[in-house]
Amino acid sequence: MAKVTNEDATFEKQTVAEVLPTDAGGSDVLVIGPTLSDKDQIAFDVLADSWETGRAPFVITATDTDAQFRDRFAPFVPAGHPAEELYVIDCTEQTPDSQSSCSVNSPVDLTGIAICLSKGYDQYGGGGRRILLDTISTLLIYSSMDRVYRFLSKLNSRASELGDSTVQLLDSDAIDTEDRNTLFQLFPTVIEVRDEADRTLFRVHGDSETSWYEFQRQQGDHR
Amino acid sequence: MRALLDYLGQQARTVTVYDYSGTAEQLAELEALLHGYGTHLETADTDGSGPADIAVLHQNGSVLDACAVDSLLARIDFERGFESASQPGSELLAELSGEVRVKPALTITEMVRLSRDFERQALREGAGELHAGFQQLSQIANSDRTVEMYTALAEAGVDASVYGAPDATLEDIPFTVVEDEQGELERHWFLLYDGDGNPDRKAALVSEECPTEDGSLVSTVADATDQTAGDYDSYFTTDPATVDELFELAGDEYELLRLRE
Repeated sequence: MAKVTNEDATFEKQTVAEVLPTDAGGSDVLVIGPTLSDKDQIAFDVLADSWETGRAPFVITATDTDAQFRDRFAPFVPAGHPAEELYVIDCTEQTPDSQSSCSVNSPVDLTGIAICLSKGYDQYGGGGRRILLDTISTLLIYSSMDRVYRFLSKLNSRASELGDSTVQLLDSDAIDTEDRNTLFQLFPTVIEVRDEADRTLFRVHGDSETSWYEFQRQQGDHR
Repeated sequence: MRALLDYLGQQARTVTVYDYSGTAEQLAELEALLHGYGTHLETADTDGSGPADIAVLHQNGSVLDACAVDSLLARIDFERGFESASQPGSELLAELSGEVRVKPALTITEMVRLSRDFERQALREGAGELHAGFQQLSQIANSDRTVEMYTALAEAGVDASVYGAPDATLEDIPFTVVEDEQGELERHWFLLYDGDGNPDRKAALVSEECPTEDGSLVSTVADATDQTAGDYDSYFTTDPATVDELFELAGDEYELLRLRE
């Protein structure tokens, strides 16, 4: 394993999979970090494992349209799996002519998201899949903390009933400590991300807390 | 910016529920859902001779749509959505999609969240023009995250301009800084993004800080991340036509704004 040093500290370079506890495979993961950090890449690495562990991922996007999301995620898709295998629930208030696996008219329509998820399960079944939510921060613009909390709680339990698990993104810049701690209760595993100089650092909070590692892409850097 | 706020205020819609017979709890949930669509909920009682539990969507006295309250209430129950894909949608809610959201007295945290969300949209697009008012330039200078974001936006190809009273200097930055010498924009936290023509990315936040009883603005003395800082009248929208209109209005009102023709 490569070591990286600077004047301040040394961080081991690791992929997320190497640092996540082995029992985190089927548990819900929250990835929290600054808006501009590379936390999306960490979540995408976790999401891409969905193919290894079972099935093509489901994606709930409140920030990118379906097409924009597929573009961003394409470099993370393992060889031999077309990005078309993704089931994308697009809640970005897109213009009507956009194409999407399932669309919801606004991020406020949590019922619409739930229905799209049910449709996905009707079509593809469950077991070993990861479901990405990008991002909790956008849902919080449109619905109260209480309602979003109940929705995520139900999302996680529904995924778990069907043998799946979620990976969800949250911006750390725009949430107060109380709300953050409330959301943490929903996730057995929390990956905390921060930027330092030109690198992305992360650590994992689960049953215990790991030290900080420098993030290394799982399948080599395709970008 | 007052003209923009007035314009947005006129776009606000109301749902009036006539002769409601359900529980107060469900009504509160419905109110929260409609609020997320930027729509105000009212109830009214009639002499009871007509049909009950009717929801009417209206704006400036014109009826836009109407439906049975049941179909709206079905939409608040996301628990059932997780169990079955066959739940009916509400056409009235579909009508509300993309409409102006009216959020009075947003907290600072909510406004930061919204700004970050819109800035991220611009960053993903990597083009277009974005105008952001910070009231004072020190709000930018004192926030590494904000400098980092606007630097990233400029480097990604977004034509980003920031506005504020010149109480701090910003040096060696790739985005445009406009000093609001006359204090024309001192009460306004705003963000206008044209999506580079992509209707899915257009977004606007317009707000005005309400002075305290002694007439001062809390933001001029308090840290921007302090949630007890001033109250704002605030509107945001992602409706493309409304964002276009806001650009027009802003161009008419302020020579200061460096809008592209």
